[in-house]
Amino acid sequence: MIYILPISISIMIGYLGLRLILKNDPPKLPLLIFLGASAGLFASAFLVFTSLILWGKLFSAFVITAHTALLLALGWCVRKVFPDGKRLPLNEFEASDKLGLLLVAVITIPVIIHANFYPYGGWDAWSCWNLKARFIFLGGEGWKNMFDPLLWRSNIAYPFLVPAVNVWAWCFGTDPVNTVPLGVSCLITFITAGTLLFALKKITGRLHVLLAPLWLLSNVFFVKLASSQYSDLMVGNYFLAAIVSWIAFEKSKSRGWLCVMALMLGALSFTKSEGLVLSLITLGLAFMMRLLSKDKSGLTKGLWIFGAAAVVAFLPTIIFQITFSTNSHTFINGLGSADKPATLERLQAVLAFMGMELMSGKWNGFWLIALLGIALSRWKAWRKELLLIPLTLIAYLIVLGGVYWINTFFPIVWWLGNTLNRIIYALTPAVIFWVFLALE
Amino acid sequence: MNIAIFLQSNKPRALFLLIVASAVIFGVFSGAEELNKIAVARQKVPFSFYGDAFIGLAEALKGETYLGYYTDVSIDVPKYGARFAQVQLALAPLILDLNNTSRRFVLFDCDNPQKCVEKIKEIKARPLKASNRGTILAITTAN
Repeated sequence: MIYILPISISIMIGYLGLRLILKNDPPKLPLLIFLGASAGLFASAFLVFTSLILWGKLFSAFVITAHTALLLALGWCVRKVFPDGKRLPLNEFEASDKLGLLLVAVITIPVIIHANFYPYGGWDAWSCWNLKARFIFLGGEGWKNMFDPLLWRSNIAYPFLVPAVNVWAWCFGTDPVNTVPLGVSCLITFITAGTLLFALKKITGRLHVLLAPLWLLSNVFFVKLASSQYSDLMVGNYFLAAIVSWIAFEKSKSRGWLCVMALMLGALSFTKSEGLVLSLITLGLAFMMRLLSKDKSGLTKGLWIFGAAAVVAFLPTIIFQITFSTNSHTFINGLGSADKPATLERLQAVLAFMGMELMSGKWNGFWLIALLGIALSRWKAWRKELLLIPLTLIAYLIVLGGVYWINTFFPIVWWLGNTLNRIIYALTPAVIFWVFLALE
Repeated sequence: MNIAIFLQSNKPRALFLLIVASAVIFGVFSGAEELNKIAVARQKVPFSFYGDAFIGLAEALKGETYLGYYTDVSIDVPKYGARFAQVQLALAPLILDLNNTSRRFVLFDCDNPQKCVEKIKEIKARPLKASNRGTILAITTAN
C-alpha cells in the first residue's frame, strides 16, 4: 500500500504543474487530473533519470527529496497564482463527470483481473521492461550493464520511461516487488481511458462520448495488452495526450496547450523507440502546421514557446540517445546487404500483413468500424483542426512499413506477427478520439 | 435530452454510435467469456513463475557481473526462451551468459539433469548449490 504514496505524489506534481501552465485556459478538473497524472509520471521518470546522470546510480534519497521539493515549489506557485482558492475546484465535478469517472473505474476492473492472472506481465515485461527497472533499482553503479550486448534480446537500445516510473515507486520500499509494475499498468489504463473520455467531453459537451472508453476497453485483446506491463499503452497514452493538447490549442489558441503538447511528446519519446519516431513525426508536423497556419497572431512567440518546451521535455531522450544508446544488435540494413536484402517480396509481405492485421478477428472489427466512422464523416475527419491526427498516423505507418522492410535481421512473418499488433494497439486511443470528433 | 432529436440531428453519427454500441456489447460478452476461461484454467493450474526459484541467488553472487547459464535446450523454442527470460529477470542485475561455461560462476539448468551433471564433470566445475529442480550453481576453475 505504501506504493500508492509515490504515485499520488506524481499525480499531484503533474496536476499542479498543468494548473500553472494552463492558467489562461484551464480545462475542467477531471481532464486536468488525468492529463496531470500523465505529466506527473513523466516528471517522476525524469527525476529518476536525473539521479542516474548526476550520481551515476539510483540515489533514492535524492529522488524523494527532489519530488518533495518540486511538489512544495509547485504548491507555493499555485497558491500565489490562485489566491482565491481555485486550486482544486471540486465544484467543477458535474454529475456527468462523476458518472464518467465511475465508468472509467468500472471498465478498468477487467484489466485489474487479467493483470492478477499474470502478475509478472507478458514476455516483454520479463525480458525487457521489468528487467531494465531491476537493473536500475538493484544495479547501483552497474545499472548501465543493462546495455550490455549480451542482453541484446532485451531491446537494449530502448529508453525506459515505464521502468523509471516503477523504480520511483520502489524507492519507497526495499525490494522490486512485482505489484508495482502490475499496479502501474492498471493505472495507465485508467489514465488513458479517463483522458479519452474527458477530452471528448470537453470538446463535444455530449454524453454519447461515454461510449469511447467503453469501446476501447470492451476489446479483450486491448485488456490483455493493457495488463501485460509493456510500454505500448504508455505510447498510446502520451500520443493521445499530445493530440488532445493540440486540439485544445487549435480551439483556444492558448499557448499553454503547446507547452503541454511538447511535454507529452517528450514523454512519448522516452517510452520506446517507436514512441520516439511517433513523437518526432507529431512534433515536426505540428511545427509545420503552425508555421503554415493562416492565423499568424502570436506565431513567432508561440513557436518559440513550443520549441523551448520541446527541448526541455526531450532532454532525457537527447541525453539517452547521445550517452547510453547503443548500436542496435538487431538491425541489418537490407538495402545494403547481399545476404539479407530488402526485397520486393518482403515489402509485399509487410503491406499484406498490415492489411490482414487490421482485419484480424482479435480486434472485434475495431479497425473496420473506425474506417466506417471516417467514411461516414466524409470530409470532416480531414478538417484543419483534426488534420494533424491522420497525417501523423499515415506518416507513422509509412515509416513503420519502411523499417519492417529495410531491417532484415528478423524473418519478416515472425517479426510482424510478434510486434505489429502491439504497435497498432498503441494507436487505438488516438484513433477513437479522432473518429468521435470527426463525426461532430 | 431528447434522444430522438440527438440521433436525427446527425444520422451518420447515430449510425456509427449504434455500431460501436453493438461492438461494445459483443466485446463485453466475449471478454467476460475469455476472462472466465482464464480463471478456470488458473484454478486448475495455479500461476507459477520459473524465475521465482532463483530469487536470492543474485544476492549470493553480489560482486559478480556475469553468470554463465548452461542449458541443454534451445532457447529459440518459446517454452525454453521464456524460462531463460524469467531466470534473467530473477537474477538481475546479474547478466546471464548463455552457454558460456568459462565464467567464474555458472548456472546449470537442464531439462535432462544428467546432461548438466556430465557437463560439470567435463569442465571440472565444483557444484556449490543445487535446487530440488535439478538446477546447479557451480564454480569453475576458469578464474
